[in-house]
Amino acid sequence: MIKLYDYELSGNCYKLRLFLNILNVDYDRIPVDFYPGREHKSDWFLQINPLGQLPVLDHDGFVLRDAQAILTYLAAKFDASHKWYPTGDAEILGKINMWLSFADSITATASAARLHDGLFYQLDIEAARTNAHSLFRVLDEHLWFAEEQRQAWICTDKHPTIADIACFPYIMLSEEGGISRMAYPAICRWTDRLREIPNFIAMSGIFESGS
Amino acid sequence: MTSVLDQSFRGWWFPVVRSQEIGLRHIHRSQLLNQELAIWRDDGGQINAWENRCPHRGTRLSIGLNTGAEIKCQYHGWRYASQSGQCTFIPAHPNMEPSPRYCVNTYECIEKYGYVWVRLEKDKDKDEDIESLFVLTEKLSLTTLRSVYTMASTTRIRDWLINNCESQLKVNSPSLDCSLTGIQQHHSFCLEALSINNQTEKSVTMFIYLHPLTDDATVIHPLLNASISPEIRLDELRRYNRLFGTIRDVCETDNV
Repeated sequence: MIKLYDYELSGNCYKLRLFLNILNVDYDRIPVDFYPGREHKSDWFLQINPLGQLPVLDHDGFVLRDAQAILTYLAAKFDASHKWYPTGDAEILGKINMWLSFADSITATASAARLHDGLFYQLDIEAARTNAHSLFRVLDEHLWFAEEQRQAWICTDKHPTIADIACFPYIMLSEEGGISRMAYPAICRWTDRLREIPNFIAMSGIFESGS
Repeated sequence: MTSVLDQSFRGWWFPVVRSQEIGLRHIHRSQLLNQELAIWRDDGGQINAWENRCPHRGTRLSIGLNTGAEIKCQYHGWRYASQSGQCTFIPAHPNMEPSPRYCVNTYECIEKYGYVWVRLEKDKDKDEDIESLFVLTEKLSLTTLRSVYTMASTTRIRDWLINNCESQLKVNSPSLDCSLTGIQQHHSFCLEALSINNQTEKSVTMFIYLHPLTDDATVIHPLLNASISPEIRLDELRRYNRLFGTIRDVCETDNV
């Protein structure tokens, strides 16, 4: 059985709930009181992840931390189509991993800004927002030129990959950190497409459809 | 310095987004002269430019749903009809005919030269020379390039272009293999320039429309007065995107 150590309002947890739902994989949620309980820094949770970060996946005793790493595991393990993470295609695999790292940068900026505004984290909010805008600019340009080549997704033409899932949540939640997406119309069109994926699920702050 | 928020510009037509970027069932969020807009197309192809605000509780309509005939607000599900903006249905009162008071503020919009054009107010004095504001005459072969969003005022970008492109645009970027020259100003928000490919030395004219989002933010809509053959289309689009990206970076960095 799969156990997901989960926090409802976390975009990194949500991307796993979303992907598990898309893949139709059953799992148990183990809620961790991230805020205000700080349970992710508690003794019992640090035994599971010494970094004190969510999410963590436990699949029959195989324990994995890091949302992006878990996406690769879930895709390789449960996606029989091999489209979400085509392990046999070196070029696409390289590109996907490049954008998974980009997703981490989005977490470090857009998600941080949201933690500042919503959960009162102390950090350099102007730097977080400025750096998030720089990343969004790069992705918007990438997606605009992708559309010009009839490529609907970040790395691929027709079928999305885990790179799309990884980048999606904290972009959609960016306004909660004071980061407007008005200047990124290609990103907005891509988020529309993503929400049309069969078995898409929402979370607080991310609607089923709309920009 | 004139503010772009000067009321007199509300009677002007502005290009706000490339037509092809308003796909079916999408809602494009934009801004013009500080007014937030929700721009969308119904399934019949008709374009709408609305105030981005639900008359019920003020929610942005752009986070709502484009059903193909109506916009359904994300908050309480009120629905508004294409073109009129009139509320057609209130889920909490399914048997009630929605009052005419529940109507979205709509703006005039048309599609021309590859863009959606919007004006916020009718200008009785200017009504007859609307066409002249478009600058373009017929029989042109046009290519809309990637619109570039900048965090710089319209005045700043216009002045920079005029000051730097009279003779030859000088930008410190070795990868930039095209330049702008012979800049002319048609009106406050439309410039024309000669674009030169530095490798082939071929030149084409282009229009540069400046679309003021706010006092401090502008979209540059570059419109090439030429067609691009399919085999070089992508390279050309990238080349122009680099050019206007560089102009954006310079105008943002030295913003005063």
